[in-house]
Amino acid sequence: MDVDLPANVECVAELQGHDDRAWHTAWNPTKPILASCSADKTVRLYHYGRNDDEPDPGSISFKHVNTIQTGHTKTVRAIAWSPSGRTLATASFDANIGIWEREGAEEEEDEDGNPSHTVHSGEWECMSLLEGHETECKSVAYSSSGNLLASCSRDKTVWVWEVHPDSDFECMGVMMEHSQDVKQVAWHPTEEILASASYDDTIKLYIDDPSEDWFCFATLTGHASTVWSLAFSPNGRYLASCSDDLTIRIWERVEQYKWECVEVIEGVHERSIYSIAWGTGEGRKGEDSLGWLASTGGDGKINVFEFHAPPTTSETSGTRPPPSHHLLARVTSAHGVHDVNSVSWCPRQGLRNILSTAGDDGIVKVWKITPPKES
Amino acid sequence: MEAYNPNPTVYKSAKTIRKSGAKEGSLWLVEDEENIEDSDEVEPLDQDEIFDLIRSITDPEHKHMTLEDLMVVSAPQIRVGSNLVDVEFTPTVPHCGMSTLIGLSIRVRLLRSLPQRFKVDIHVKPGSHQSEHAINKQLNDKERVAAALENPALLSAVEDCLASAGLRGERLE
Amino acid sequence: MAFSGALTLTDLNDYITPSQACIKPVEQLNPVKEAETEPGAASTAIRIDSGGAYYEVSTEDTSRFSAKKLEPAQISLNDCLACSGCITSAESVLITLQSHTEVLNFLAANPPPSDPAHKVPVLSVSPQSLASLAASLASSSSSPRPIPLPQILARIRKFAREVLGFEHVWDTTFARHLALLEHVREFRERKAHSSSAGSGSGRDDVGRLPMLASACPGWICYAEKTHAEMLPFIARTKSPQQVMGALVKYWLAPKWGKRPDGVYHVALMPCYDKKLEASRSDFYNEQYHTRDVDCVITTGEFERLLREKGCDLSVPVPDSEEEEGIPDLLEHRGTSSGSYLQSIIDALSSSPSHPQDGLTLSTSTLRADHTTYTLSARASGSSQPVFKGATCYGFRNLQNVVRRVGREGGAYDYVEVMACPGGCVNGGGQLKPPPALDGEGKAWTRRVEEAYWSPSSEAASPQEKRARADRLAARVLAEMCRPDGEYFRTSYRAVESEVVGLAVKW
Repeated sequence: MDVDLPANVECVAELQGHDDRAWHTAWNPTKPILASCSADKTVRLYHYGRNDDEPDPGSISFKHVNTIQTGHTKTVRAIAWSPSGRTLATASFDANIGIWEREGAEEEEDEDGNPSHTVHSGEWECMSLLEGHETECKSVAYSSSGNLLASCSRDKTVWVWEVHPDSDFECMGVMMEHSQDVKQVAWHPTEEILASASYDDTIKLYIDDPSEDWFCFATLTGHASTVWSLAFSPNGRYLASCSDDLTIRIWERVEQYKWECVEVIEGVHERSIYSIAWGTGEGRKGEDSLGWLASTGGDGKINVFEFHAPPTTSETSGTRPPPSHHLLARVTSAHGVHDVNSVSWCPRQGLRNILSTAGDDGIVKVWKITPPKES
Repeated sequence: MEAYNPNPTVYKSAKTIRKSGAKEGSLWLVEDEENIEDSDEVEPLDQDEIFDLIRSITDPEHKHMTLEDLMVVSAPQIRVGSNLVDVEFTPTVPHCGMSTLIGLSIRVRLLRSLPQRFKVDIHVKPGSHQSEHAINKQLNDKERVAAALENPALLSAVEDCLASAGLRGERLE
Repeated sequence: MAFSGALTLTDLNDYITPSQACIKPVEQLNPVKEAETEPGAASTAIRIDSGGAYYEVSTEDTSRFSAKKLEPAQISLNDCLACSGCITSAESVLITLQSHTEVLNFLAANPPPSDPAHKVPVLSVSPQSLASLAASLASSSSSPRPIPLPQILARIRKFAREVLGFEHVWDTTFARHLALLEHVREFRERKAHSSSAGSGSGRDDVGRLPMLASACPGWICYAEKTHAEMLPFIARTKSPQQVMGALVKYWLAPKWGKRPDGVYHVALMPCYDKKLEASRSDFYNEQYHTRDVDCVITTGEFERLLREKGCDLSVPVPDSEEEEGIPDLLEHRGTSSGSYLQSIIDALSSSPSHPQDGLTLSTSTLRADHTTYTLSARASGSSQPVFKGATCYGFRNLQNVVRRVGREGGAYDYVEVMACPGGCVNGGGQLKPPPALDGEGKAWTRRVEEAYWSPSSEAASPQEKRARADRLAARVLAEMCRPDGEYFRTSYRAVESEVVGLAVKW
C-alpha cells in the first residue's frame, strides 16, 4: 500500500470457498448479501453485518449462508441482482442465463434491521433459463428500473430481454453490432441506455425505438485493445471504460446521443485492466464529487480514484474541461500473485466505501476505503 | 479438407539440454513449484528450463513430430523475467490454422508446470503469420482461454498435444 | 475463393448471421514408415505461386525439382447443412455450386434441343424478387409509380428467353397456391388429430399444434441446428420453391417428353438460404441424380447477371401472353411473405362449420414484426376465440416463438415464422437500397412491400383467375397423386453437432 495516498485501505474480509477461479461479485442492492461466482459453477452468498459488540465495534463481518449449485454446465462468469434485490441472474460459459429466486422470498421484507433469520432459510431456485446465445455468455445486467435484462456473449451479440411477471421473459432485441466477442454490458443509472464493451476494441451504446427495435446509436472508438469493462458515473453523465491497452478512458455525454472521450488515464496498471466500478463513495464529499472509480486487473492492483466535476464555465466558452481525478488509494498484490478479475462497490447506504474483489485464487475479498477525516 | 501444411520442414532435434527439476514425464512439477514458492532465494528459471517444458509438445497436425522438431519453439525465443515468461513461437506456414491450438497447448503446459506467480505471454514470431495480431490477442485473453479449456473437444485436442510434453526432448518411440 | 459479388450483409441488425468461421481441417496421421526417417531429413516443402496456388515441392534433391499442385479445399452446401458450425446462412460459405456463373456455364454448355442430352432450362421467379426489381427500377426512374409486377415478369421473360436461352419462365405464385392448399390441409389434419387425441399426446408423425410455417429456410436451418424441439411443430408442407421444383420435374417434364434430369431448373429468390434449401437431400432424386431445383440465384445475383449481359429492365416490353402450363401472378391476400396465416384464416372462415358472418377477426400488432390474429365466434351472446395465429418475423421474434411454443404451446394455433425482419420482401438476397435510402433499410423495405402489392391492370378478374387456378390445382393434385402422397410434403431432422477438436473456434 502506498503510504502517501490520501485514503487508507483495509481488507475487512477474505472469503474462501470457491474451488476454482472467482470471476465476479455482486452486492444485493436492498439486503445485506454479497454474491460471488466462479469457474466452479457455483454462486456463493454471504450475509454481512456490522459488529456493534467488542472487540471491534463498527467492523463488518461476513458469513457464508448459501451456495447455489447452479446447474450451469460451465463457468459462471458473471452475476447481477435485480434492483428489487429479489432476483439474481447468472451468466455462464454454457451460453445460458439463469434467473434465480429464493423460495418464499415474499414473506420476509425485513429491510435493514436484523436480517439474519431472513437470509438463512429458503432454497434458491432457478425460475427461468434464458437460452439463445450460441457461445459463452460473458455478462448480464438489469436496467435501473428492473424491467429489462441485458446479456452478451462471444457470439458477438447483445440481447435485451423484457422482464415479465412470473419469471417470464420476452426477447426485445438482438444486436449484432460488434465484430467480436462482447465482454460486458452495463446500463445507464437512470435511463434505458445500454452500453457494451468488446474484444473488437469498441464500446457501443443502444436505445430502444419503441415502434421498431433496439438499435446502436453510437460506437465509441479509441481503445487500442479489448475493452473489458464499463461503468457509468452515478450521475449518468460519464462512462468509464478499461482495456487490455492498459488505459482507462472517461467518456462524457456531450449531447443527447453523443458521447466523447474526455480523459485517458494511463500508467496505473501494468497488465490488462479487467474491471472497473464507479460508486458514489462515502464520507467527505463536496458538491462537485462525481464519486469513486475503482479499477483492477491482471497486475493484481486495485486503484481507487476520486472524481470531481470540472469547474462550471460560461456556456459561451464552448469546451468544458474534463472532470478532475486523483488517486485516492491503491492496493498492490491484492490477491497475492494472482489476477484480480472484478471489482464492485457496495451500493448500500453507509457502506459505499466498501468494495469487493474476486481473484484467480478463488478468493473474494472485501476492502474498506477510509478517506482522511479532515480537509 | 487437407492439412494446412501437409509436408513441413523437419529440423533435427537438439540434444536434450538438461534434465532439471521434475521427474521424467511428470505433467505437474509439484516439486519445482514448492521449491520456488517456499524459498525467497530461488534459483531463477531460465529459458532452457522453459524450453524443456514445451519442446516435446506434439504438433497437432503432425502427430509424430514435436514443436521442437518443427522449430516451432526454441530456447532463444523464450524470455524469462522474475515473474514473467514470454514465449514466442513460429508457425510452420503463415496461414497455419493450427497456430491458436499450438499456442493454447503451450499456455496450458506452462499453466500446469510453472509456479503460479508467473504471468505468461505467448505470441507468434513477428511476421510469421498472416493473422499474427488476431492469434496473439486470442492467446493472451484469459477469458477466451478459460472458456476454451471448458470445451471438451478442444481440451482433448490439447491433451493429445500435451501427452508427449513430459518427454522433454527424449525421442518419441 | 471469392464470394458472389452481390453478396454483402445488410445493415439490418436482426439477421441470423454466421457465428463461426468455417474451417474443417483434417488431422494428418503420417504413415509410420515416414516417422521412422531421421528428423531433419524433410523431403518436401510447400511453395505458393503468384496465383496463390499451393505446390508440394521436393527439397531432397534440388537438381530433380518436381512440384505437384495441391488441390484447394472444397466445401459444398451439403457440408454446411450437415455441420452445425454456423447456425445458418449460405452467406458465409463459398457459393460456387449455386451462383449465377454456374447458370451461365450450364446454359453455355447445354447442347442444342435436337441433341438428346439437351436439358430444358426453366426459370422460376419469386414474386418478392419481382417486387425488389420493381422498387429498384422505380427508385432510379423519374416515374413515381412502380412498374406493375406483370410487366416486370414480361421483361424478365423476354431477357431470360432471348438473351439467356431459357425455354420457360414462370413466377412461383401458382406453386405457392398449391403450397397454401396443402398447408391448409395439413393444418386441418393436425387440428383434427389434436382434438381427437386430446392435448399432450400429439403423435409426432402427424405433427403438433401450434403449426409453424415452413417456407423460410433460415428458420428451418436454425430450428434443425439449435431447437430440435421445434421440429414437430413445423409444417411439413414444402415451400413454394420446392413445390415449383416438384411441378417442373415431375408434372411438366413428362409433358415435354423429358425425364426429371432432362430439365434444368433455376429459381430466382429473395434469400440466400434458399440455396441451402434446394441442396437438401430430401429434394434430390437418387434415381435420376437430379435436384428438384438445380440452382438458386438471388435477386441481387440476377441483377448482376442483367448488368453483365447489358440488359436494361427499364425498357418496356409488350405485355406478354401467359405461358402455357401455369398461370402467372396469382395474388394471395395476407402478407408479402406468402400469406400462410391468412390462407388458414380464410379457410376457417369459409368452412361450413363456421358460417362466415359468425366469425370475427381481430388483429393486434404487439411490436414491429409481431402481429396476432384472433378469430372469434359469437355464441350465445359472448365471443369465443376459435383460432389464434400470429406473424412473427426476425430473429428477435423468432426467439419468442421458440420460448412460447416450448413453454406453453397452446397460446397459438398457427404462427407464420420468418427469419428476416420485415419478412421475405426484405430477404438477404434482395437488392440493396438505392444510395438515397442508404442506411434507411426499413424505409426501403416499405417501398418493396408497396411494389409487391401494387395493383396489376389485368383483364381477367381476380376471382376468375383464382377459379382457373383452383381447377388447375385440382388437376395437378389428381395427376401427381402418388401412393405416399408426398410430392408436396417434406421432413426435418435435428442436426447433431459433430465437433472436431482441431476445428473448434474459440
